[in-house]
Amino acid sequence: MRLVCWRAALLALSIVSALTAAGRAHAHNLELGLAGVSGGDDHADPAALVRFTSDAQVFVQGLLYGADFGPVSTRTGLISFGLTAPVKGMERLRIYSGLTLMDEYVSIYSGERTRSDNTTQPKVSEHNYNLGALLGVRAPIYVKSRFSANLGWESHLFLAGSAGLFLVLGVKQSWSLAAGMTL
Amino acid sequence: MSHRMSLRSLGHWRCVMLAVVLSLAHSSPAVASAVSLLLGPASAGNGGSNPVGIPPSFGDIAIKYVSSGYYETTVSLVPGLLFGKRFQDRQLYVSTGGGLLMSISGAGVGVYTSFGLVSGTGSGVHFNAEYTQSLGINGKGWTAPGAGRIGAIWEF
Repeated sequence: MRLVCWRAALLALSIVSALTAAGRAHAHNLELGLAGVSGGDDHADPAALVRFTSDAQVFVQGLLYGADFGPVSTRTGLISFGLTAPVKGMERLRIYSGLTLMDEYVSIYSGERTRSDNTTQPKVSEHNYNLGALLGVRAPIYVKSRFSANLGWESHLFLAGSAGLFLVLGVKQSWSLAAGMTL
Repeated sequence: MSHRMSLRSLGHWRCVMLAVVLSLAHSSPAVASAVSLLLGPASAGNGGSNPVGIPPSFGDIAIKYVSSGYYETTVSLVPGLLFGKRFQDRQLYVSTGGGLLMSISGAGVGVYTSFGLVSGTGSGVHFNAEYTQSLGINGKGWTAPGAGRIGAIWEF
């Protein structure tokens, strides 16, 4: 039994070493962070951030936030992907551009409930999807060995239906602090 | 509506004159300076932007002057009066700087970043599209006005 445990540990160590070595060659980056997403002047929702950037400077990012107001729950997810590159002339700053898929979810009552007249109140919920563009910049504030941290500032731009003809944009601006490591 | 009226009361011509004065102040004998006129509705912190007016109202307009050293001055009602540095790579550019910000909750100070596209470089008139995001503080808290605009840039 003890031998089996040692072998399993050695096998796990070998796999981790192999993955780490491969990761160094490719320098993928995984980051977790906190963000604030604006909802008009003087109002921002706290959000969780996760971002993966490949060695080809392709990134995938998720922002998730929400709130509960009594029986009403809201959850908004912003899934973005695109390309990142240093700003020519100011290489410390990186520009992020791509597309964002937004899912705004609203539900009233988390499940079925019985009304006062003994009838059943079903859960009411809906998803609203929108596809838009992402434009943003990031600046590193800490880089050491495989670990790094950065500040981000980005806007997710959505055409407001047919009003897009009049250049109307729906905007979700976000500010983030993320820390990560090279895989 | 009331904020629009109050913004209008600033005086259109005063702002235009200010743009001209600032542009002249930045002038240099070097070659590739540029002026751009951009139209588009702004997000002033009131939950979304209004459609661009026909004809465009003063709040829909931004005038930019870019010096030969790529220093830019933006004159607009929203996001405001901005000074910054443009970093251009062929037909794409990023600008960053700071200035006076204007939103529905009043005037403040802050920083901005612009992302832009021009259809060409060199002397002449080119298509120009730009989105500006800003972040700052005013007497009522923080503010983040922005604007997506399109128009023309004249390089000379």
